[in-house]
Amino acid sequence: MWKLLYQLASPKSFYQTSRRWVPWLGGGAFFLLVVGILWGLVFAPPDYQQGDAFRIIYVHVPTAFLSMALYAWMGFLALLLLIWRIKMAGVILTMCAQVGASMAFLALVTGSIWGKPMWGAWWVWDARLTSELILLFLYGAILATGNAYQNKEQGDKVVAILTLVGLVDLPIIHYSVYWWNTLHQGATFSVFAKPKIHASMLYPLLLTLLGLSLYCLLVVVLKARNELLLRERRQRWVRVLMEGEGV
Amino acid sequence: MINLAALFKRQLAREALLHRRQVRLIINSCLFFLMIMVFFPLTMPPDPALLRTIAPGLIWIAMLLAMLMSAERLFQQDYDDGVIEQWLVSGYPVSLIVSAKILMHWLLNLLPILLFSPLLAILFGLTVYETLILMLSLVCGSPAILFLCALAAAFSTGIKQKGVLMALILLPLTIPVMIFGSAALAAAMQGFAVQAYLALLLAMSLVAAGFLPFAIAGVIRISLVD
Repeated sequence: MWKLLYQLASPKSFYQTSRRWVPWLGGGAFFLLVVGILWGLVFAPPDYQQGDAFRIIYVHVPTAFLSMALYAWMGFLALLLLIWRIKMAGVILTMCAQVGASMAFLALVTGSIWGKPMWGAWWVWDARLTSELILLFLYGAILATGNAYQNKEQGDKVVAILTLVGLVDLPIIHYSVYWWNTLHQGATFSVFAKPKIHASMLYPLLLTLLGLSLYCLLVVVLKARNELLLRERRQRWVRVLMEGEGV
Repeated sequence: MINLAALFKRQLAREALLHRRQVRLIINSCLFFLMIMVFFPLTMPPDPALLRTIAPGLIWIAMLLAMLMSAERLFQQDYDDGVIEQWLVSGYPVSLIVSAKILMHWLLNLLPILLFSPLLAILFGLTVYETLILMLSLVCGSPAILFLCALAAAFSTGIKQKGVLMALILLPLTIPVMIFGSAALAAAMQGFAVQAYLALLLAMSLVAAGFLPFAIAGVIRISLVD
């Protein structure tokens, strides 16, 4: 397994290895998302209090979870880049930032849509919503900073430092519902506790969560592959790939 | 090679001298602060209750913007003169030099704002107790703001279009400090206990002052070695 990880650090073997993952990631994501969303939208029972409007949970929770998970993953990649100087980690970091930003944005939008009928407001300035908004701004700052550098390797390192400085926001978001008096509810399920949501509603949630995670992984891998072709375009393996043998 | 304490003291003295020779820069940021504080009541209905309500947030926003403006040139002059390059090759820890610079910058830029706090009390109708709490909260919270502004300044020293990028990077990172800072004064105005807010502000400032110099030194090293 370590051999695989070492191989992934090289652009050329990452490109070749990831080619085999793409169909599986795509198929798995498609299947899980379709099953999860159909089950959640059609077959899961309506909530006793919220009725059918709760079904947006099947989009809201996965996107919110992924916005934070991707940021944590970016923090890990930033450490890989800065401490072990693995350039590949820098490439994946930048691609994760783009996907993470869209996940944070979707979490906020779906949350607003859910909040209007339930809480009566599109937006309240409570701790969970505000800290997720901060996360979106952090993603925006990371994307803007990365774009400002002509030399992409330099840009990756600066973005890595910015990611690490912003990592302190993640525990704030997660625990905001416990530390402050907020409108947003607490965690419904976690790794160690018994889930507070009924199984008939929980299973489609887990399916969409897993499906969206695979989707994000797919998108990051595809973007990273493209970015590698762009960055390594002077290398022989890229020219052979693009122009055929005999280069 | 001199020892690190002597280096720190020498850098502090250098920064103090630089500020002394360019007093107009401190006056600029102070005037900017005052401008914001005066223009808000001018452009709004001069209801005393309204002014008291918005005073905490307004003072902190004005302080944030004034610090942001003054931090923009934090590294620019040294970058243009090649001093930063000398830091990088000197063999001394750049984080120490950077923290001396920011510390002196903080002392000299906060002082005018603190001196004008009684004036703010008159403008917005704050009592003596509230003014004291305001000054205390500014002292506790402004290091965090300034170190974050310095981080944003370090990010944008090497690149061309600075202004918007700095604000964009800075904004999400300063939100916790701003929330607790303005909440401290708001709590004092309502007669609640402020110790918790001040303690949190001080904690954030200490964490910022303790860890951000390393991040700033790293960013300077990366973005100026091309």
